[in-house]
Amino acid sequence: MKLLIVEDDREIQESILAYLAPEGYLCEQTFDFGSASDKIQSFDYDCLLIDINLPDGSGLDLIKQARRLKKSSGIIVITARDAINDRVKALEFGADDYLVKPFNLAELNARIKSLIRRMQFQGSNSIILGDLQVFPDSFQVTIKGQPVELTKKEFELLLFFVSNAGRVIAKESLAGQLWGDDSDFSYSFDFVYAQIKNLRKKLREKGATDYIKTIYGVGYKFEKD
Amino acid sequence: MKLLTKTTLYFVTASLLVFFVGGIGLYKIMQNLVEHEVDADLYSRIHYLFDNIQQLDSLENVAFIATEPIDIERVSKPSPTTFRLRDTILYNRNIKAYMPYRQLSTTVKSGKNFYRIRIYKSLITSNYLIEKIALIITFMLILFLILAYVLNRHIFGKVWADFFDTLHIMQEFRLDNPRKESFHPSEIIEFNQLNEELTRMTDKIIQDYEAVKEFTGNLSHEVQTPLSVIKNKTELLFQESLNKKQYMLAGSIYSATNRLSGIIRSLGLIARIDKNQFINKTAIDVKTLILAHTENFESLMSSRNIGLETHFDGEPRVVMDKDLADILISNLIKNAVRHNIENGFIRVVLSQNELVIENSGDDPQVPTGELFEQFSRASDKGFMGIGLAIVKKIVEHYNMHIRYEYHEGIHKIKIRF
Repeated sequence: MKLLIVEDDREIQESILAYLAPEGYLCEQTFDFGSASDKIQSFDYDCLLIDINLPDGSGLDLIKQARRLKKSSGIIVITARDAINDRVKALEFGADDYLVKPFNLAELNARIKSLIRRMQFQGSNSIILGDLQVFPDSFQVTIKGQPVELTKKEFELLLFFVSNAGRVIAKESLAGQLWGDDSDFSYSFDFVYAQIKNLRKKLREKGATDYIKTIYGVGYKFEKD
Repeated sequence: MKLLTKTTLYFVTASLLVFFVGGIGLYKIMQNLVEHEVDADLYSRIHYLFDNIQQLDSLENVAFIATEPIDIERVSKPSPTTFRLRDTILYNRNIKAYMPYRQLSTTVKSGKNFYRIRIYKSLITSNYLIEKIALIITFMLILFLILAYVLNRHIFGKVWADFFDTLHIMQEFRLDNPRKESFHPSEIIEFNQLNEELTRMTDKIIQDYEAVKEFTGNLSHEVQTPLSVIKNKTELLFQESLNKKQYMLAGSIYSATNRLSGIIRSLGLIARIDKNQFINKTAIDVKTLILAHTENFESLMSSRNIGLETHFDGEPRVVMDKDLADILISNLIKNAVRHNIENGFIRVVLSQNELVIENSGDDPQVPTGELFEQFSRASDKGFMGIGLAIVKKIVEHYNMHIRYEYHEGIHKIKIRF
């Protein structure tokens, strides 16, 4: 799996790289429009992660370039929150998904995985984790082949957990995942907690291992094995 | 008290005082003059009598030559020849009433006898004169007062007209939408100075306000990158094998960074609304928007056993920016959920030109007007009142009206499109 990360801020670039490292992707970094354009021209990537605001050009032109070259790469753009027009344009030019700055890495990871999944399996795919199997497109979950009934929110949480298996996820990221924003949902942490409790219970009832571990003071961790 | 009322009041009070004192003085002078006149007349008559007494044999006959009442009586002892003046009343047989008279009495020697003579002059006519004159004076004064009052109001109104113009312009002045309306030049130097000062001040205020807006806009933009870095680094830190205490610390950093990022984002949003950066206009189907957002919060509501009631009496389409509409409705619903209580309710009533959202909740503990101010803390749930400040900003941006009421455990926000 080959990724190109186009982001001018080195700190953010480093963070992304560090977070994605356990996934085993082959990540390449560029910090400006020129070199990004060269790389897109010369190589094939499975996924392009493009910041729209670059010092020497617009990430939008990179999307256009990639699509003009008929590259099959999945494209995720990173935009500033204010730039709603950029977002619309990015999707028009052929981007597959977008993230709004400041984003959290768990979310970025989940988006990349979801994109790669969509591209590789074109709909009929599932994520298998131990005795757990999640079908993102049909919103179904089975444990040892047995279907589990989950509410929409519970399913969203589980999918997010599974995408970030083995990582510690902040409760803010989970709340943000449920309501599409991650700043001021502190009042809903009780709800997140209750949802996770239900999810755990439902999974356990079907005889699954207790995957979800509470990390006190931060959030939760979905154990891989 | 209004400026004109105040000045007129002062003027009228002062004039009344002057006229009152002046009127009494004038009356006294008149009275004095008339009295002097009467006395002079009495003296001239008594001298005339003295002249005639020499030619008359009997003083008793003197009475017949007098046209006015006269008393003559013989006195045994002569008193020193002096004249005495006093006011008195006599019975007038013609009109059968006592009338005021001026009396002059003296003693005179006729033959061997001494006589006291008292002559009188009626004061009726002179009193009448004084009365009439006083009446005329009073009448004139009242007339003058009325005229002065009218003139005063008129002149003051004219003199202060430029001032009132200035005042009107200042009243119309809106900082968030300053229309440059210049003051009218005045003939009065002070008013021109006032206008100059006001122009200078408002220019400065507008300039500062713009600068602050610019600053918040830039700040919210510039700060997001370092905040992103902190956020992401903290997330990476989570993945290290930390001990409990370290997790707690890292968790706090992450929460605080998220909150800060949210606050700055909201400030940036407000600044962008101020700067008029939302220019796209779409006819927004409010009902659909409400349904979408209530659905998003459904599970959160049911987890706290909050009942949702929706009444759609119309399907209004409001022309506004799509994103702002989304933020508006989402903030309103979020606010109603967040400040609710266990087993509470949310009632959304949408009609053709009005949206009312009611929810149960605790007493807001801040004056209801302040709820829309940035950062007023409504309750201690980590909530910065910025959500409602944004709502207000959006509503005002589209010239809609918003009202908030709290009555016995029910919060009510009403928006007229």
